[in-house]
Amino acid sequence: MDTDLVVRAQRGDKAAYARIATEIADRHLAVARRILRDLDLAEDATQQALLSVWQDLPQLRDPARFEAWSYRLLVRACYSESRKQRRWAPNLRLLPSDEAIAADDLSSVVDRDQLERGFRHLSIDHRAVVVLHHYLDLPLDRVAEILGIPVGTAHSRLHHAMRGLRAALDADARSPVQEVAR
Amino acid sequence: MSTDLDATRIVRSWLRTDEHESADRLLDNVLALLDATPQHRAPWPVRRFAHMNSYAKLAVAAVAVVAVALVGINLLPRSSSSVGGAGPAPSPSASPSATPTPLPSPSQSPASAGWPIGTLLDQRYPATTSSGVSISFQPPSKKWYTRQYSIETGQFPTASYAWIVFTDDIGEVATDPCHGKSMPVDGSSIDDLVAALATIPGMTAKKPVGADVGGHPAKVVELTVDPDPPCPMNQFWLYGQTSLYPNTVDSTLKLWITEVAGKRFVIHTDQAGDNPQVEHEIQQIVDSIQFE
Repeated sequence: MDTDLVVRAQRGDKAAYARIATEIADRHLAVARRILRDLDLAEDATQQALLSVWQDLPQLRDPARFEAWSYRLLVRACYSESRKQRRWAPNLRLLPSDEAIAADDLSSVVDRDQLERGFRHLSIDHRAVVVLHHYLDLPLDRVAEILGIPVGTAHSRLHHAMRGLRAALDADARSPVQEVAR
Repeated sequence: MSTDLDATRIVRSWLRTDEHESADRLLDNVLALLDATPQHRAPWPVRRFAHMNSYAKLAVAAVAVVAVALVGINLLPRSSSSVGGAGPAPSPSASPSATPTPLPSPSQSPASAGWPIGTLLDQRYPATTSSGVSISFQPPSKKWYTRQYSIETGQFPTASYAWIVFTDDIGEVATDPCHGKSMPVDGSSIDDLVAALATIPGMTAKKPVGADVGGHPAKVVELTVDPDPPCPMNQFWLYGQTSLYPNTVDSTLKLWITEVAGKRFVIHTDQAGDNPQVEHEIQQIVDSIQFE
């Protein structure tokens, strides 16, 4: 991110902020969607985070750290939005598939379903580490900086999360099923 | 079946599927809000963006349909002269849906959005739960706004923050909140639920007191979180996995439990700190409830 733009936006330059927001919005939405697993919530979180960026920019001490700082605001917004994913969300259940699934496709379909379920069992803390590391390809020291946690904690969270996801992948229930909305 | 490398490869591939998000729509909304959104230049850190009301101007319309679905509450402006001219009522056939609702542009008129854009006004609003219980209530100030399935005020997680969730009933209470374990409430009476709530581990319940909700006898249960909770609050499920949890460790939860047509009706409130004004406004909203 161009630090001059950040400095201008810190001083209240809306055009500069608009350029920043335009540059980061798609990426932030993608990250939020992967953490929250819900586009509607992800849009709310991203919008909240982008407004927070504008409002809190004057308090960012080091413009060179803008990217990490903005992701931190995004993860916080994801925390807030995640509180809405509760009992009243549409239920999902497993039904036998009416359609034959090609053997080659079966593994990937099942993997996705298992991953989705496994991922949803993770806390937002753990999801954030997985997404920042495996989706954004950020090294764990950067992930730790973004989340404001020790590097060791980031390693621990990633290990825990991947262990859970691997367990999901290794789950025995591998009948040809599809997950459908009730 | 999978090695660590396999799992990593599969996870990375899975995270990259459907990688075509466009934030254009919400970006337009954000940019349109800048003029009404001053920057924070205070020396203290800001935990959550302070102008929730401005945000809520978008959120109200955006989440209205989902809000109706998820908590079973259906808000409509009662007076057509309010909120800049009320929009049309949603179709009565509208069914619960998690389909993302387009975020309206703040420049949209309320009529085109079909929903009151802005915070809730200090006027009466009707609401219908998913089981068909019709109520109305009136916020005492313009500090309240709707969210996905609640009405809220203030900034999370400060002491100014609170929310209210209307729900038909609470059918389960936690036996192990941090692991999402719960048990069914034994019995269908008000007192049965009152007794069950007092058993939630990690929470302390005050002695229930009698109350009145819209002319119906009720009980009020006040719950607080015990010191040093064993897990973060967003994993502390009060009524079973993926139900509700206290918003903060300092939350005071008050539940008004009454019966309507022989069934329990619960108002779950959560105040994230000690703020007499917010507490008073919660009480005012509960006092304003009328069963239609």
